[in-house]
Amino acid sequence: MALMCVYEHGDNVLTYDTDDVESYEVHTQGDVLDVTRPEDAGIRRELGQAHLQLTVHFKPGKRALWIEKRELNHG
Amino acid sequence: MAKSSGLGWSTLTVDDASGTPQAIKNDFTNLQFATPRAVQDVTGIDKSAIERILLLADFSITLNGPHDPAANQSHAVFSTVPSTSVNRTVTIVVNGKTLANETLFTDYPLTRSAAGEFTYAVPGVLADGTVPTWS
Repeated sequence: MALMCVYEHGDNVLTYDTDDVESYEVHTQGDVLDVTRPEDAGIRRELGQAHLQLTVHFKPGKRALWIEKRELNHG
Repeated sequence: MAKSSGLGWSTLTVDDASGTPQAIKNDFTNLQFATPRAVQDVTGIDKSAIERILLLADFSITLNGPHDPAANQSHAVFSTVPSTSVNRTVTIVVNGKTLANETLFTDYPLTRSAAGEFTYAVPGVLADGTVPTWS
């Protein structure tokens, strides 16, 4: 068991146990801007902002849990 | 040449972030690409069926394969997708026919499945306004 902290808000932390995870997906996606010019016969594009997205798929019946920070420290 | 399969794929090179073509076809287990055209509905009020005209050309590709962290292989090529903004030449040669396009790759998604596979499906789209043309 390894407790992972994924998000912190005020006195609380969103956590999950790695034993409860079925699979992970990592996306490092960029926005795409259409900058096609009037003279173009095909689409012209540029990259915009980049984003990071982690998706955690849990085993059936398992989920992430909010706990208080002090609980984490005592654990 | 007669009806042909995709066996014995000739060439699939993708530029790395510095613009060097990397021949990484062995890293790909399958791919999809398309060369769609936009259409405009120009149906006149005197018509009883749709009239259309062709507009801009486009190209898109998705390259699928297992994670390969070896030098100059797929991870080396695609790991710079989120951190660089460069057009990359994708050159496809199959059954003696060539299609080369300047492409923007927009994601390097990796999936670790429950069964243990660690795979990517990297999407790319036409970058530079040039009509995709087979030769």
